[in-house]
Amino acid sequence: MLNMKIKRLIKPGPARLILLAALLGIFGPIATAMAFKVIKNVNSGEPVVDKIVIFEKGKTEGLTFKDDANCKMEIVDGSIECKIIGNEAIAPKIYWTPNGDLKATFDPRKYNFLILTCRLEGNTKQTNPTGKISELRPDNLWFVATLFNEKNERAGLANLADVSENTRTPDKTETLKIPMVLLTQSPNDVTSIQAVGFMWSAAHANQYRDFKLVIDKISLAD
Amino acid sequence: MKFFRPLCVASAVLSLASWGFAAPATKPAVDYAGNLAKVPAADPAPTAAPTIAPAVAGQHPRLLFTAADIETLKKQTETDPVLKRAAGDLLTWAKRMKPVTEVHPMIIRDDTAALSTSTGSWAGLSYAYALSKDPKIKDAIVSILQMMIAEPYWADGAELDSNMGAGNNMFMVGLLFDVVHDDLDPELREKIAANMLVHVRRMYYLGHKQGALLANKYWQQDTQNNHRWHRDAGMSACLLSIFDVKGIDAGFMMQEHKKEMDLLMKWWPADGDCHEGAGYQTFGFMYLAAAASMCDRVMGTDYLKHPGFSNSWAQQIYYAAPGRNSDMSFGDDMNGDGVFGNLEGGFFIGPKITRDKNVQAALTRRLQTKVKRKDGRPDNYPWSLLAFYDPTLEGGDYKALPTYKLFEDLGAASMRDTWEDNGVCLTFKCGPYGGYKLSEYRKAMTQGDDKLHYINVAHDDPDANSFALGMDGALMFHPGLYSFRKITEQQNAVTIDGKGQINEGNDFMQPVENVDMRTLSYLTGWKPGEKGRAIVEGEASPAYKGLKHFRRTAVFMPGEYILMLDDILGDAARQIAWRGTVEKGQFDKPETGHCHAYTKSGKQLDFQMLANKDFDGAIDFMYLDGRFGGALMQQFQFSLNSESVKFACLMDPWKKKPEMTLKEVGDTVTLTVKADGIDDVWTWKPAKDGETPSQLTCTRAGAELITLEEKDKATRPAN
Repeated sequence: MLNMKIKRLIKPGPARLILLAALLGIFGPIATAMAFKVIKNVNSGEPVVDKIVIFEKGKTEGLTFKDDANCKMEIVDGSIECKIIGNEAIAPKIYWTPNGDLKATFDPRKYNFLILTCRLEGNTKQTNPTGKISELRPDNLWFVATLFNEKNERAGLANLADVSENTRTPDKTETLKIPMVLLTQSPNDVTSIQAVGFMWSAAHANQYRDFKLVIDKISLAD
Repeated sequence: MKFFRPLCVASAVLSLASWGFAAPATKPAVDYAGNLAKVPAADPAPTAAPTIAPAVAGQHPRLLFTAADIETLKKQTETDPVLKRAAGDLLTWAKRMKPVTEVHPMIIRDDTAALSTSTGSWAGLSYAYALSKDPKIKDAIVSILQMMIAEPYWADGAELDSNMGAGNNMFMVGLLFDVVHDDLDPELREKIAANMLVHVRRMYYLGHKQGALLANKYWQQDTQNNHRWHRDAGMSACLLSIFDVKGIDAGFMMQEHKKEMDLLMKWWPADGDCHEGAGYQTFGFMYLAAAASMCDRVMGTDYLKHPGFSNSWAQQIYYAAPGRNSDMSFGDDMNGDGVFGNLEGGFFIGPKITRDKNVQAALTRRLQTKVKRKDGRPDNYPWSLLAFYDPTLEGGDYKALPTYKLFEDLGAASMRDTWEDNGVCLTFKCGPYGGYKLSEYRKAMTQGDDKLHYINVAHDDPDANSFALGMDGALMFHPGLYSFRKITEQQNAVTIDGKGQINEGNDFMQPVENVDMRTLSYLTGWKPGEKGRAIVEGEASPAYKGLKHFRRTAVFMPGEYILMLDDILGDAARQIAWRGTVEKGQFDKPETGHCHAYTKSGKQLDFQMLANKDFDGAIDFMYLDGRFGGALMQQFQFSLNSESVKFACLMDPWKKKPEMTLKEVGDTVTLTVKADGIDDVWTWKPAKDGETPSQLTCTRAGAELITLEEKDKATRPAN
């Protein structure tokens, strides 16, 4: 039997030659197709898990606001409320004090999502040339969430309508999963965030905004 | 796929300006006197002024058409459906046109208005009047001319009277003056002509001679810049219509303009393609075609014999996405649905020159499918069809065009299975920033040992060895948008240690200093086969830090499958990441490499990813930023830390459900691809050096199906 094997190796056909050469390492190593290991899948369907909670309804310690007369912020019934009036551009900001895993700043690139549970109630009063006042509330209000770095520069933008389920700016409380990639697109520093905020461009002169942004939760999640 | 328009629309001032790459909110004050001081009182005497061709000397109109041409065109508009509709739409609009009496109109304050109104609309009045001789249209034309000569500037901005808007306004004024020349009161005619010469001279001295006080001379440094072509169309229209008007002394300007056109022709690629992508090719080409047409007719030059005019259509047709009214192009192209406008009409000059009926049929099909408004209603046919469309080219068949094409100057290829809407198109690119001809120009313009001459590659991407796949109305592997942060991560290519290709990260790409960019990334192999099969290969390692070898080989087997093979070797262990941007993606069986990309519209592309080493797979978000709106996409990322890897990606756009195996013995990889009726064995051997193609052989049932051999080098334009 052994002789037979040796004979076959001594007088091999082409296939055996290749096999033998491979076994002897003449052709170098042999590799077969390698499978890959999934290390991330934003479509896995697994529930989003909070990693850092910045704010949750009723837990308001340590929060401070940067606002103005057109976007006054306060705590009402445990939620953050921002009263938006007038037609000027606004950029209210929410700051926090370090608490446990929540440090003074965070690197948003370490998280997949900013979770924002909120609604934007209200409408715009528009004075038409006839003097008649009409109330407007288009589906998309172009109202954006954003993050601010330590220089108070914006790190990115996410239009709430674009990240909502029905592509409408939510007028009823909705939990938005905002892909962090949207909030880290700026050429500004995006590695060290110290505030969560919102931005709204100025409205037309004949328009008057009368809105209330109600926020129940802000967290960083994977 | 979600488009994030507010990033560029609602929050434009907030977002873009604060990031430092948008126009400032208020325009800087224009130093009128300082600029005009750069325009001398008189020109030197010409040494070789061109003359007017005898056939059109003293005659008007003569720029884009003569009176005899109009008589022919009138007959053609009665019978040819395309011209009939183009003329009908134009005349319907033109007859409603009222005299224009604006002061400081938008067209002199804004480039976009000059593009859309002056060229897009008012220039068409020249044809409307020539065809109809309607006195109301003539009145409208004269009112526009009078409005223009009443304005002290034709482009009131930092590039005073020498910006792109000035070029468009000059183009419009030249065409309108030409068509009413014989009807004008002589005094007014001479007054208008004198004013046109003022603007010709300002364009020349402030623009071409770079006298304008604007520091950024972005369009004068090379000949392929589309902005330059806008200006030269304006120069042609004004100069060639006034040259022999009484009291006009424009010999030096004519001489200089001919030099300018000669220079453009010398350094324009024979392919007639555009390194900035199909979108910017559209933006510039019609102006070049119009300028060359006018020069040939009036000066007797033969610019239209440049092969670029015959070939330019190809980039439009071969980069058209199947089943969409969009491109699927590299470079600064939004790749979104668009309407067939005046600028696209210019491409009809190709078949007009070559008499290729099939190309005419392909362009006509594109016209007919794209002349739609967003709500589906038909849009007007553009007036430029009257200038460039040749109705005598009948009976062509777009399906007869070859389904693949190599673009030598770009270092790119396009392959598809069919020209129908449900087709599959794979594009591949591995060329130098700017293309070959521009690099050649850069070298030629470099003086002594100084650093290489500046060229404008602002709209190019760091996209060597990238691909895109369009299929049945969807962009499955997305070609990208008009990005303001040009990074390889957004391309369907690879990154090394998280970094992309040289000079990535700019809002506008810049040429690589003191490097011949032709040495950074180039096609190595090109092999068309039977039944539309094709193999294309590129080498991009010099464009990266830390790579010795990055060979990507794309195999297009129409109706069966697509293979994308990567052979990557680093100078040390590196994090190598394969990236493919899709609308959405999912892993099906990671243990066998099976995945799929899918779209909201219901399209799905299955693919299988294998490698010769263990690797990781990820699907992450990818935000494609775009000048006119961004898109939240997803990206497949296959990565490993290794000195080398060979990836094999098998794509299944034709739903054949092929299965692939990979085995490597020594440096030779054997791939099997099996499906119903397909039992292929691919033998893949690495390239022996940086220039020679890999060796790739496919056998089916013992017979060779297609091979890539060392001799199958992709041809590159000769220096």
